[in-house]
Amino acid sequence: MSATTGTWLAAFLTLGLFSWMWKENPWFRLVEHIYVGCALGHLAVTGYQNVVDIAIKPLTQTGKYILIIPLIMGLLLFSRWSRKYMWASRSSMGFLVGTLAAVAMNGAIKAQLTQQVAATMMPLNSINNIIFVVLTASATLYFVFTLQQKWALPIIDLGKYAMMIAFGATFGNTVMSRISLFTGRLQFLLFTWLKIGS
Amino acid sequence: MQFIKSKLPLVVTFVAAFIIIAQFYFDIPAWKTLAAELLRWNVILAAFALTLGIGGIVKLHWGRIARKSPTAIYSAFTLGTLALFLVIGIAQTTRGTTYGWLYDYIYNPVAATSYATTFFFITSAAYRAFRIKNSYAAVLMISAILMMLQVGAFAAFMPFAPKISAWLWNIPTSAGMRAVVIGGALSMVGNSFRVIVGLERGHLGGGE
Amino acid sequence: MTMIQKLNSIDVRILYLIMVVAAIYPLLNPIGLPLPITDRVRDSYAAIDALQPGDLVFYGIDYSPTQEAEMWPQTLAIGHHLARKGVKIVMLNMIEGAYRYEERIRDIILDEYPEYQYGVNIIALPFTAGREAAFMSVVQDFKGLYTYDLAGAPVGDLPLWNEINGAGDFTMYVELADAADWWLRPMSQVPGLQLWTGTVASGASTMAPLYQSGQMVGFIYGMAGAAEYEVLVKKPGSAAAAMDTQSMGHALIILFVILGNIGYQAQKSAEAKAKAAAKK
Repeated sequence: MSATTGTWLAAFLTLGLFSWMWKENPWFRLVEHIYVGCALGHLAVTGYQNVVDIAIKPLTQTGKYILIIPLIMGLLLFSRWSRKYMWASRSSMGFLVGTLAAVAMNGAIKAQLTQQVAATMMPLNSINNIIFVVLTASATLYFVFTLQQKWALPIIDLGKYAMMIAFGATFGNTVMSRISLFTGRLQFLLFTWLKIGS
Repeated sequence: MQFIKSKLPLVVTFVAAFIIIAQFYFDIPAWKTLAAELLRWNVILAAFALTLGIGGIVKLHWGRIARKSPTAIYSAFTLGTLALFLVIGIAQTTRGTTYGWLYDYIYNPVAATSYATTFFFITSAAYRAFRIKNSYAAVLMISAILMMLQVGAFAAFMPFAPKISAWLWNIPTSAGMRAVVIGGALSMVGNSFRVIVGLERGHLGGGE
Repeated sequence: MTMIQKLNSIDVRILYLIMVVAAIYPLLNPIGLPLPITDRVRDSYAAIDALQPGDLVFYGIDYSPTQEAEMWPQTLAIGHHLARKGVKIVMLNMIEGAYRYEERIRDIILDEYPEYQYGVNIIALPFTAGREAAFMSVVQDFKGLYTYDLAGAPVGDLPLWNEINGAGDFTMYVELADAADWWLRPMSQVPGLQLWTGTVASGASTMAPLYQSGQMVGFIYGMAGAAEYEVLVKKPGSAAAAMDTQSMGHALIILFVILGNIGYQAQKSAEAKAKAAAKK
């Protein structure tokens, strides 16, 4: 199939999704349903390919028989599709979530907790450093929900303002992000499909 | 049987997690090898988990087609697209040219455009929803406007704008988000611990 | 209907139309507004520029088509920079939708840089499920995780693969992803590995403290970051071309926020006056 046919199909799908902005219509619903189908299809294909490459091929070609265990555990996951036999998937799910929780916990303590706290301990020899340390400490104090002390309230307020600045920056960047995504689709429609401009 | 249904999953969760965590405290090569093997098993199970979503979607859309609901035609397209990707993908793998065509001209444009439509939501939200009702909202909006001014073109008319944006980014934004990152890390540690010791069981699912 | 009521009840489709026209016009008639380079992007560029020929670098392509507009220009600009430095590149992919971008950048490097030979100084590895667990597996047992490369060929046949002992041999990890936590947590445990990231603008502020703390040596975000990087590597592309549209879009959003709030405050004060008059 040619790239030209593909480009026209892609343009049809793109404009179909954008048509919702005018009003809800069958074109948009059709493309929306196609999106659900292809997204799930792609997920399933990549999952299947991963299982073949990392488990089935090493098992059959290099004799790594221990991989039968995760293969059986993986197949048991499909019992979640049946309400009656869903219990069979629990051990597999427990293994999946347990290992992930262990990895995440270890990484969070090292990379997100200790290193972040250590980086906040900076010399108070410039106005920027002082502002930084004060704002970090006051914003962190906001998250202490167990002890409410009246003297801490103005400090917590300062922390809230620091977080508002941070969330404002997030919003500003989100606007930038959304405009970029739309511009990307416009570049496809104008330059690739209609071949106007460059 | 009751042990397999309710207790075994908690034992498996704890033992798997313990092996992964304990390798950082005991310098035993065999233990590290076992932990590395368990992580590889996690990758395999995660790959299986990617395919789980199909069940619910097929059930939902097949039901609509069987009941001849008004949206049955759309459900047919969902299942048809799903079947097309599955058949070509399993036959050719993602390395095949036909699958690559499907990815480039069907999946890629719909995925990219689905997020691009949020451009319109931001537009209507900017006009209708962002109301400055108190001092916190005012600070948030001023910070947002100053961050938007960091884009290059504004520097031509307001040379001070990028400098203010950079300072806002380096000092108050980093400070405020650091608190969020630290809070998030503490919450992750707490929740992970709850999952590992079996206090949190939602991930195991319902059923008998 | 008063002016304030008209302002507050305007059909949003008019706003959409204004935004679309404002976005299309600069793409077809570039205004050529200036693009100054921020210190952060300059420092990030310098971090990759400090790499030596032959250094081993991980290049992680971890974004889906939903983020293509912001991330593909970054992928291209950084790919060119890495190739010009003559480093040995091992590409990774932990997001299901990213494999085509990995294939494309691999092919571009092989086509445009004759000194690059597949398997000798560049390898592309396939998608691996599991996200954080997959990264942890890379850290602990990199060679045990992969048997085949992106094209399906056995990795054991590749000369570069046989030179590598593990993740500890690598100098830098360049990651293009939408968030930091799930790759930074495991990869920061490799001693001496420098972390560098390109990300989407909407997720950038959560990474700001990680860059400020020195956990990352490079950090660019969004289409603006990609545009600045394209200028630095002297390969202006789609990101640099889109900056005029970006500026127009920002200006209009700021205008809409201000107008919306003027309308809101005016309506509030009119309602307060009406209430006070009714009480009398």
